[in-house]
Amino acid sequence: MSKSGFNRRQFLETSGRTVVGGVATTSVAAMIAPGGAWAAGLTTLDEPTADVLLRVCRVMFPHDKLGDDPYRTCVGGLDMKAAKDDALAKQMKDGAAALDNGGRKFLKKDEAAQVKALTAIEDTPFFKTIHGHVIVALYNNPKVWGHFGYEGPSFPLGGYLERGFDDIDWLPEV
Amino acid sequence: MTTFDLTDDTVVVVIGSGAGGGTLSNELAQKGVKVVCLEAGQWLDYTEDFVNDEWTMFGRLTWQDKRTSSGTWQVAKDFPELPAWICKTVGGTTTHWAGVSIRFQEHEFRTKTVYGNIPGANLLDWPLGLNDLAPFYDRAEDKLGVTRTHGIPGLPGNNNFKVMEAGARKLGYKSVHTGYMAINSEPRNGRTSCRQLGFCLQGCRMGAKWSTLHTEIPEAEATSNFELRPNAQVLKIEHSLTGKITAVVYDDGNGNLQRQKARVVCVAGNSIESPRLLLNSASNLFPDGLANSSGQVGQNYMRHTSGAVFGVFEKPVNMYRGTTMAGIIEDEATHDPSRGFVGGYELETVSLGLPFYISFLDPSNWGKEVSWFIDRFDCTAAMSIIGEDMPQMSNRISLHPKHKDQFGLPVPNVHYDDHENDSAMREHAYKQGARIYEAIGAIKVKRAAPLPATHNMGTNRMSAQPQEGVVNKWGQCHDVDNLFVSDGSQFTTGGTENPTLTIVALAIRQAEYLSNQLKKNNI
Repeated sequence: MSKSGFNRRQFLETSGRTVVGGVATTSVAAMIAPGGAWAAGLTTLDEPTADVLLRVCRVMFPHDKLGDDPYRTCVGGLDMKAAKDDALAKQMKDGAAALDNGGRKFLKKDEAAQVKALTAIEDTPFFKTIHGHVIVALYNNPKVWGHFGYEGPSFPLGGYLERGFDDIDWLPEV
Repeated sequence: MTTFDLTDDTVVVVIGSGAGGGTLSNELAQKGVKVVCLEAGQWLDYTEDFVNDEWTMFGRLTWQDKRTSSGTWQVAKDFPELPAWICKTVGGTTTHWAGVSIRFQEHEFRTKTVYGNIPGANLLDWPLGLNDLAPFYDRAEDKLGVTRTHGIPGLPGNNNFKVMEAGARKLGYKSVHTGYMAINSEPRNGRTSCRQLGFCLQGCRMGAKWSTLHTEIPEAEATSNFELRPNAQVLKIEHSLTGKITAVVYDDGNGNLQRQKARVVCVAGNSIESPRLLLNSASNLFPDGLANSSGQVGQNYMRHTSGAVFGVFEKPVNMYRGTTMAGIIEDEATHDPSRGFVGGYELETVSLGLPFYISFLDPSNWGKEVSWFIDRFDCTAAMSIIGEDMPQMSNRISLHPKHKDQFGLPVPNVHYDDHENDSAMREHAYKQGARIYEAIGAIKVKRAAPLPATHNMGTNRMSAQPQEGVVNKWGQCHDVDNLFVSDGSQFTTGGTENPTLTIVALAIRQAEYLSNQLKKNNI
């Protein structure tokens, strides 16, 4: 599993120069009803496509500790990009449909088979687009940081000088 | 604020406001030399515009104009359009640097002599030695407020350092400490002290880390000899029929071209843009680019042999808390060919927040293995490898034959192949890094590939002989008396050490030389 490519474009997407991408994750999160389906959110992608993308995002970066909401946020971000980019919308729709080829639905496969299906397409533009998006959109979302023990901005709290910058207590004596 | 007329041909024009250009500007202004500093990036207020957010600050600080890459290095695969992580903003890459400030070792100024004939390497002795630079290192350390020099205490060790230190001691390493840092451990010269925020690489929100943005530039502005023009990207350096530099042409940020006349021009745009500017300034008189009779402009690009080692433990580390790079192991920095390579390397702590962690840990990967590491982000320690890489003529900045930038000029291509010495050194460092974490119970260790470099050196190198390099021992171009190079592209070889302190020392030294030459009317 490799070589999906991560380039300057993904950096730029989050840099504040464009509206979509990481910058928009919180607003997308607000748009999509927590724990629910897509009712409140999708503007361009159809629900079957979004359902497949949701699963693709999770298989790409699986975390048992995360519910569906952060992954839905990722799909919401793709939906926002698709709203402004017809080629991307088509790429998502066609790519999701292609995962169902052979008559057996991607969503009905077990996880191992889903991994195998994604491995087979990891060099495609469809896969690379999603990977480049999710690698930023999933982890640049402050709502997931706590699940991984990341505390985010420290300046507003005075840094870590009195908040545990050197509190490690399990190291062997040297 | 002082301003100078575009037609004032008595000024020194400094291109770039980072470690080289910002320091040189201030040193000259303090000596009464009139300076116009042209900075391609915008001015930011560190008390408002610097925030603790990795992606946001990447967007605000980084040089993002189009660049391409080629060669067999991993960066060309993982980050093809981002060959270097350097800045386009007032203060240059001193906004983003980690603050590590180490002198070169004596032998690192004469590697051709000491290392001998290394096939494929274009080694050359510097035209100056540690003795020549020592007094200027002294002044640079004082200026930057480097810890463990001038009686300044070291920074306290954070969690990430304590993990590395414990493992290093177990292995028997002796020189392990919180580094020589241009980050205040106590208030000094109007700069506050570090509050262990983390986010050193995102621009220090405290101003505790030295950056020309809030030190050299305002000091220069306090004289009546200095004008900073932000959003001014220089496109071409012009010369007279006799080959003397007369002016620079720049875009003023509003889409208008301006021509600033100059008595002297000093180029300090970092090791990609500086040679690119010389190459883009080719003329009938200088068909291969300005100051390029040697053919060495753009060649010998060095970026340090780098990489990172992550160690995962059962219990929390929280590496992101506190100073990003205040931790060093110096034992491997020596030249000891018995290890299978020439030159040495340092191991230095490095930390990342979660958003950058995933993007740099394994940027092209996916699936359960990557997720396993991310799930243990809080139990992870990290160190980076920084070692001397070999200068090679084929590692070079060149003008792209097709792609043009927003000004219609050819974009730079950065070509790099690892030398076998680089690969042998990296392999040694990866193994030692893993042993350090395993010695204190790491449950898993991961090697991370080199990132886009913040250390970029060598593309306008110093040489005693004009045919072997671009500038002399003062950074003055061999071919053109009133054209200087004032950044890390002057480096003849890269050394093991993070380059900023040496860039600053060279800039202080160059300011003395240049102001004396101006006084004597030699230029």
